[in-house]
Amino acid sequence: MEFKNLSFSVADQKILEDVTFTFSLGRWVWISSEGGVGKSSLLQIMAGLKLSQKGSYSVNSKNVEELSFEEFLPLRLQMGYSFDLGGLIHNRSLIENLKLPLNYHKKKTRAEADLIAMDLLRQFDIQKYKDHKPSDAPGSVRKLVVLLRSLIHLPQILLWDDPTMGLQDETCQKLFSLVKKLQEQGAVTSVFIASQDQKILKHADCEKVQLSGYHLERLSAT
Amino acid sequence: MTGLTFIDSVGRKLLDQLQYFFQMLLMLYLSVRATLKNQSHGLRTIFGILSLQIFYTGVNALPLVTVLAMATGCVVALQGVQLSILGGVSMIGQLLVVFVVREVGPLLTALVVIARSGTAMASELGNMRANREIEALESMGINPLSFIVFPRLVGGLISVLCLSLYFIFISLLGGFLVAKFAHDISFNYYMTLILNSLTFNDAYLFLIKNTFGGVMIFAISCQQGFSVRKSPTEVPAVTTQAVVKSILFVVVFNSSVTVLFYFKDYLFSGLL
Repeated sequence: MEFKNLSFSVADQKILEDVTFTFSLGRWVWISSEGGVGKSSLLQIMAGLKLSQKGSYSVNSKNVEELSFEEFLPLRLQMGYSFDLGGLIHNRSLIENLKLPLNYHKKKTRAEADLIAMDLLRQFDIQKYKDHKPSDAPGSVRKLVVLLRSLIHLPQILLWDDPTMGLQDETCQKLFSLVKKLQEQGAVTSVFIASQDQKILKHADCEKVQLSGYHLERLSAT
Repeated sequence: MTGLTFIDSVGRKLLDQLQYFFQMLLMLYLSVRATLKNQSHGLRTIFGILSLQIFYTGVNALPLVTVLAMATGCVVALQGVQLSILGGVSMIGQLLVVFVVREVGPLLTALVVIARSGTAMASELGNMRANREIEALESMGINPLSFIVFPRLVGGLISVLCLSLYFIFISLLGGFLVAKFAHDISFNYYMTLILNSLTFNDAYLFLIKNTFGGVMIFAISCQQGFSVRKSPTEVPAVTTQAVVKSILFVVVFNSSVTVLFYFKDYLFSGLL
């Protein structure tokens, strides 16, 4: 995953300017910055949800910005993206939200998708909310479902925006353990976490990338 | 100078409207293309959304359409009863066909759909945008154009066509009740009057007005909903715009079709 002379701004706010950077794959990467600098936008660019104004972003040497929705689809299905806030489909229950990627892309049969989703909900003891609409569920449950939805289709790359926000330490621990377990099984290879929360380091061994002054800098491997 | 400024302003507005219209056509094309390209993905999910759309737009609107259609049929037939002093009872059939089938049916159905479903759709999509649901779909590899726009457009179009047909049926029933009460006309005679007044042109007008009207109502509502950038506070404004633009389009389009239809008739009959 590589940025070449990439510039990006939202309205008048500059986020990235002429950035050339290669993201390490096959490990955990913690992207940190001051609040409001543009971590979420950076992660959205990496997920192909936002296009830069200048420069290029390539995944596996393919320029993402030149690909149509259909051409990018195989790459996109190798990624799991989770929002810091929102992102659940309001008129579907939590379990339907969770199963949506599996059902839509026919990765599993409906019965298999049911089993996988229920198993995930049980692991985090939130199965009682399965038929609740997002607006009827507590914030921490909503957050957890968005995170679980990003990994239910077993992507190679996880892009998580503020995953610990609103979650208890114990839940975070379970979540990170689940990702590590998936890594051991060869499902998830790279995890990118954009957050200000230092607790991330407690849960995983991360490479740290700092976003400041419209540039990315690789700081250290902890 | 004032005249030039005025022409300049009208020109700009016209160009803006044209640009908006072509953006909608592009969205329609892309939504159909995305659905055809994604045939292997989630067609079952898309059909689920489509049937829900038909339920909300079509089935749930039946009580309101029934009342409006019955009232319209009764009122037009009452006017026909008054006019029948001049032209005989047979005028009722012609009057009902001209008013209800050609003009009032498609227009009132469109207005009901705009008021109920156009507003609901624009605000729903606006809120989805603000709540990042559209981005969430994209992140899951689900094209919002095939998942959201296409089923709503097709479901909406089917609903408009069926509702309009239902409106005409109920109006004609209302017309019969008045005709029966005023002139003691039998149902068979009433149906003969109606069927003798119906022509293929009525079917063309019905299909043209309802098909294009239906597509445009839902295309405008989707377009307006998607125009929300970030905040839920934008939703009421885009919903209002969806209503205004849909009503303007439907009224202008239906009037233009009627004018062209009569213009063609006059042209062929040698009156022009």
